[in-house]
Amino acid sequence: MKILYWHRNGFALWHKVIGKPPEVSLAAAARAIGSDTDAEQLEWLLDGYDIWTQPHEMLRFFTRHEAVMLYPVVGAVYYTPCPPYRALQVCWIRTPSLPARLKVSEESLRQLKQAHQLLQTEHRHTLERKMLLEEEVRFLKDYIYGRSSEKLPGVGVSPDQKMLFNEAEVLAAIEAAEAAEAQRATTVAAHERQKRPHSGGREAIPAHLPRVEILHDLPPQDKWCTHEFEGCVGQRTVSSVR
Amino acid sequence: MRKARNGLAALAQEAMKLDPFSGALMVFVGGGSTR
Repeated sequence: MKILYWHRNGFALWHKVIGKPPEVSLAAAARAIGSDTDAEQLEWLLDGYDIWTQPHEMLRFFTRHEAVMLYPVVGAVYYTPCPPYRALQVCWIRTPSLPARLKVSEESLRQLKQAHQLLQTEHRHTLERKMLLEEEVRFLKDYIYGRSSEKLPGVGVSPDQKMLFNEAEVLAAIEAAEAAEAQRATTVAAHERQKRPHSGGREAIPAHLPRVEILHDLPPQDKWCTHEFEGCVGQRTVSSVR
Repeated sequence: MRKARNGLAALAQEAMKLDPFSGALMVFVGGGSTR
């Protein structure tokens, strides 16, 4: 549906596509729109109501409680019954068609508002009472089954909660932790290490190779000493000089 | 439903013999039932 109108200084075009095909033919509805169609009727039309013949039925969600409370006041409302054991079961309420709904008189509307207000007050009081009773039950349960010792329980106390008078315990705990840390021995898994072949210096000559000793000696006439001591030749120099 | 402001204004002026500048709302409905 498109609605065209001149708005101050230009055309305004309003476009709506209804998701679900309405029961009323929009074409017929548009033909029937006359100068006496007011804004509310136009709204209904855009909602998919046929404002001249048979309007849509409106489905609404209610809890069973609400349904029971609404039922006696708005006489035309009926609801699909819910299992009685599910007090908060959600029910469909098929509200009557639009004109019928609009026929709710001032008197019944007033009654409805009054009933609603009453229920709200009652509900608030019930909630307060329920909270009080729950608190009482909790206290009594704690009184009967809870621990009687004044020792603070480990559970229920936040780990961030610091204690006031436990310096000695804290210090002892720190000491114990430090001692445990000092005594802690680290076990390393044993493993074999292979000697690396070329690690530092020249590799030794294999033992199986033959050793040949070559002695380079001087002829006897060259063996003389500047000290002119006969005994020098063939002796270790340093020791003989001394 | 392919006409926009100019097309619809022309339609109102020519076919419906209405003044599109009058400020009245002109409702156009497509052949389908949803638009």
